[in-house]
Amino acid sequence: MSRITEVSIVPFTFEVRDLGLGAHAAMGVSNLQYQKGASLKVMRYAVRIRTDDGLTGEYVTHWVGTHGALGQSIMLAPHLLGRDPEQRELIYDDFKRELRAYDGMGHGPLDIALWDLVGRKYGIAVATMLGAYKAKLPTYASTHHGQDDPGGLDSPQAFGDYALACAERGFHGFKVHGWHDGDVRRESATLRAVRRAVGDRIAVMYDPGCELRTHLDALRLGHVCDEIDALWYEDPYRDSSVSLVGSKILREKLRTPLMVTEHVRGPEMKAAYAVAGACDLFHIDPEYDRGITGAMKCAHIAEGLGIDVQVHAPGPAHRACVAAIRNTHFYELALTGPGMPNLIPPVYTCGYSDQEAALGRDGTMPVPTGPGLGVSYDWEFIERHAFERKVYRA
Amino acid sequence: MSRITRVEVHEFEFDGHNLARDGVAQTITFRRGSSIRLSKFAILIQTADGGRGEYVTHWVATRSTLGQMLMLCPRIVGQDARERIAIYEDLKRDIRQFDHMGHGPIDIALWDWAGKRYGASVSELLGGYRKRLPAYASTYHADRAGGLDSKEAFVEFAEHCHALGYRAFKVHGWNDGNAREEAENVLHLARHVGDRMTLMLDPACELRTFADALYVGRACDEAKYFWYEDPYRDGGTSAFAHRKLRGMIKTPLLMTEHVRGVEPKADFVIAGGTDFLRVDPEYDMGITGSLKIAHLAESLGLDCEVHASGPAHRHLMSAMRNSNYYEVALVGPDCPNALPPVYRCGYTDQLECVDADGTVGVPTGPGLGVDYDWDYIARHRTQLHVFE
Repeated sequence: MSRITEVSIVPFTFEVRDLGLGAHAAMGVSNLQYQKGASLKVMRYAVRIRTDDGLTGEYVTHWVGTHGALGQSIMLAPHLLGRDPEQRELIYDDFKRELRAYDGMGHGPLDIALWDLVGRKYGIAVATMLGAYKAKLPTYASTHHGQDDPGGLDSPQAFGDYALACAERGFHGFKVHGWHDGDVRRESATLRAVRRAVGDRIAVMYDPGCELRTHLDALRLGHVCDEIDALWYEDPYRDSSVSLVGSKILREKLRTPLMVTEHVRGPEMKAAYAVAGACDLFHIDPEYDRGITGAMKCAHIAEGLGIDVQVHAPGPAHRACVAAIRNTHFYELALTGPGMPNLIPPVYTCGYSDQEAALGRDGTMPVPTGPGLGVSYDWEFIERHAFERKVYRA
Repeated sequence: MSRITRVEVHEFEFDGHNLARDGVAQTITFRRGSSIRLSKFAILIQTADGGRGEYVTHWVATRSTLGQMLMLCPRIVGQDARERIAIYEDLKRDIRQFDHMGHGPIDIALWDWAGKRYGASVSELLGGYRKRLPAYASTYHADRAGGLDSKEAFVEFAEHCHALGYRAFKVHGWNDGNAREEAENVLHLARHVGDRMTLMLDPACELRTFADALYVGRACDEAKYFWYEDPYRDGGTSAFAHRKLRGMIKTPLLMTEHVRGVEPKADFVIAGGTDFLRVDPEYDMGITGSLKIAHLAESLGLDCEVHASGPAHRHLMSAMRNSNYYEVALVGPDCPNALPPVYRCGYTDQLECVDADGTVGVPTGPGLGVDYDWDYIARHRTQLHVFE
């Protein structure tokens, strides 16, 4: 048996070109925008777990890498010491209990690093550990939000133009994240412009990111989704997509499948949504949903209930999951925009990338095949850009 | 307009004696001679017109909560401190994937700001009317180190609480989650003090299976416990399972401490998963978020129990008809409640805070009605974050 002897949590920053913060200084997607020549400082964190028999497991966060999740990873990390890294189910159960009043967002990065470690121990990919069968994943373009300052996605027409470019590029679908003011007319015009631009070449999806202010606005945009034959309608309004009853009432009036539960943490609460008839698809994320361990539980609940899931956001762990889930459609390349980079840390020395340029001509992204997550990280870059180091040793 | 111009978050530390950590989050138990470093943080919100809103965190003070506050504080700079609802909406949407724990301290400080501005206590702003709140002693988790380390020790401590005035007592059992040991403790305690004290049980999700939750629930039935709270390892989040459990036992269930926000709590109760609703102004997006939950419970004809202790909790409960007990959390023999010693006004949530009738008062000064010792906070500060 291997025993965990060291856990490191290393938050670091990096610069992303041509993006800036618009309306306010808080770092979130609610104010990210295209800004030519600007440079945006982004924070993420790296996790490294070591054992007494010389094994290492690593993970560098993508979208979950916030101060909130970092705080939780720091709370949980010392509790890994002395444990057998292969007992992920026991660790899941204990960590879930420890952070029972919390969302568990800091658990995912640790769980993913454990999968990486065990995969390396046996020389197999995480995808293989999961019994995966897909080598390439059909991918959709998930856009940055609309913006009022010129550039980027600054009008319904700009969304239409970009959707056409994505269809020509090979993407299998195009998902609109609209404007932050939740204006029903502009949102509707955007959806219609996108469908006009791409015709029936690719799937169109709509995610207002909860910016529609009322239930009735959500209903009105739902009718537009019906009109343009959207593949799904996601997290529409300011219940912040956590009201099961609200979703149920909305869903009863719409034809377009409703995808919620990105903001509903844990398999028990996601199950409640589907059982009550409040959603058509689950949204799951190995970073958000207590790791690959938690995300696969969610995928299996959906399977048990006969519905589909979509894996939220991109990353090596996400690819391994999508590759092993039958009841799912696309890999989400989030976020993309004309001339707008994705906020993925530049830490891969193996060629792994979640930038638009990495998309194959057939509109797919490959599933890593090396041991563990199948990626290698540039620890020199991480260390050079670290602003804190938490190292726990047994 | 009262524009928010500056927000300060002060991290500080102090020692808690005869305490030890069990696990990594908030689970603390008794250990004689042991001492642990406790971290809390204070928030100060200032407006251009000279207003001040203050709050020092109690049990919500964790690294995770702090991280969320660092994410949210820049968002409120420039906003109108009077517009708590607009701020609630923006903060809720901004970290919609998260549990919102960092939101509460900000909202509570805004209520303090408003009370100070209008010269009214938060209770008065809320239309509060309850001056004395019946309290229960809410124990530390049981231990094996000389504190609450046996069923006899629980009886002895309950007797002590009764002598102090408490008429209600809640057990947090052992972290091992041994169903037989928990059930025995439930029955033993009831045999000794059940005729004099209202008893509650909170395994805090330490029972491992549904069957164990049922077994211990049947002991609660037999011993006539007032409520049974967050029994097992679903983490207190499965409405389905608790509707089933409610159908199999008589003791009312108190769930939803781990379900964040008014909408999911509504869903949980409508799905039949609980008898009482749980609310905490630190956990549930402040006093603003908590009021919504209290009113949700009222509209469904249910009671809403306030989790944990603090000045915001008291003001909130003073304006709630449908709430039974104030929770003095956490207490045990020979160890302090791990709350920050920052009150210059005599405010306390230590074991001895109740009067002979087992009640606590509601602060009466402007805002939260407490006077924080900012010198102490500055002396014990480990980090200061400023947002302008």
